[in-house]
Amino acid sequence: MLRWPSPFRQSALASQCVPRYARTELLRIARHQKTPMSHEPEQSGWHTEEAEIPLLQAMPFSRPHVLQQIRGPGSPAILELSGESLVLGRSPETDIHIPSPSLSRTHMRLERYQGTYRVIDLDSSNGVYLNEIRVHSAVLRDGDTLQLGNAVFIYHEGK
Amino acid sequence: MAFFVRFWGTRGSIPTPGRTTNKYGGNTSCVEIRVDDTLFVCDGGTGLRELGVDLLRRDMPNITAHFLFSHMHWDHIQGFPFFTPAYIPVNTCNIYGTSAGDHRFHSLLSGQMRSDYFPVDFSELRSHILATDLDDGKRPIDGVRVRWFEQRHPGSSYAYSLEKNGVKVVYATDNEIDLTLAKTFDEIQSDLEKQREVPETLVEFVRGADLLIADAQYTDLEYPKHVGWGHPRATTVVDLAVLAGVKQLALFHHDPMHSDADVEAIVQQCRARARLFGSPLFTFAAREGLELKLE
Repeated sequence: MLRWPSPFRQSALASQCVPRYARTELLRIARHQKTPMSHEPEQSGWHTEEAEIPLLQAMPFSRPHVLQQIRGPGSPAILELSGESLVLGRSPETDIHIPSPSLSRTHMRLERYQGTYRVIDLDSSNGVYLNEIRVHSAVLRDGDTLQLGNAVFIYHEGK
Repeated sequence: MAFFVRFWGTRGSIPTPGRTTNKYGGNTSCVEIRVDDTLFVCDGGTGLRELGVDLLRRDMPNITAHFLFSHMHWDHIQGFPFFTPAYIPVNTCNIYGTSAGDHRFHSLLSGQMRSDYFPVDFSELRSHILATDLDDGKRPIDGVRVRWFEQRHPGSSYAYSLEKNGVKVVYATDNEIDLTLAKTFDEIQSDLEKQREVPETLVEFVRGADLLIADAQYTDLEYPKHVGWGHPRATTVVDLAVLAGVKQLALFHHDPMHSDADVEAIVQQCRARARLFGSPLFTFAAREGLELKLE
């Protein structure tokens, strides 16, 4: 069997998430890698003809960006973030609904930004706190703590 | 009316891309301050490039940017040649000097784009790039009072205070306050916990600020090896903020050797120091992408 570095040993389910352009890119990489580097031993198993097929079925790691709710109504909860823009608030019509009177109806927007998410306070009454700082907006980083009213979240950056 | 303050570059001295600085950022000094529709840009370090990109995404028919430079050291001007709005004819960049007729910054800024340093000459920038001055704070900019304060830094540097409708923001980077204290270095070293006597003129300049953005490059342990380099101890900046009754202190100009964890440790030291003096001061580390609203 082929020997692939562990990041490429992914499930068939995961491979469905690879966009078409990325698959093309993987194929390009696979073809490129068929030519061993001069200093690499040829028996490394990285560069065989059969290698292309599992590479196309595989994908890079795909772990979604997540808000882990650790306090407030509905906690504990894991909220996977997807899409370009999401609104979080007390209203049932929001994308992420937190039924707490301490939140405004539309409290905060999450926007995709440079591979992560950016939060924007939508003029909420009780504000958005990032690691204790009241912010109007902020680009999220792994491990950040967000507090909105009595709801507290930890942001986990995906890959 | 509100002030919006957004950090685009918070690092001192040199850009520091990489995993260990990902949270607080690796771009050098650049802070956007918006007051209603008026845009101030404090320093043009490498963070300015991304600010330029962001401005072009906003729905603005033209851009007028009021540039307040602390000084002309590389880490405060390197982003300017990459500030895309400066290449577009409908935009305007006002480059302010401090006193009436002071156009030094405009002149020095153009110097970094001579052909020996950069492929595009300053004269080829198509926007209106105007040399102007603050006339010692007597000339408000769109109703915002802008004052300046000369700081202690090799070659000198300036702090700026922006005020309107009772909101005050002070941008004060590259200031070795420790060299201006009433007591000598040795006297302070013997009792680091004692509150330091910051010059009254500086305290008055900063007094009552809703937000002080201040150079806080060194820890108490690091500073003795960097005396004269132009940057203070973070703890001395806390003393200034406490004495001046500042509400929020943003530690800025992070040392290029400091990782995110180092920056967070300094924040904790500074918060402990403010508590020691019984102050309600809130201290945090400036980080790229963070935006505050002050009203």
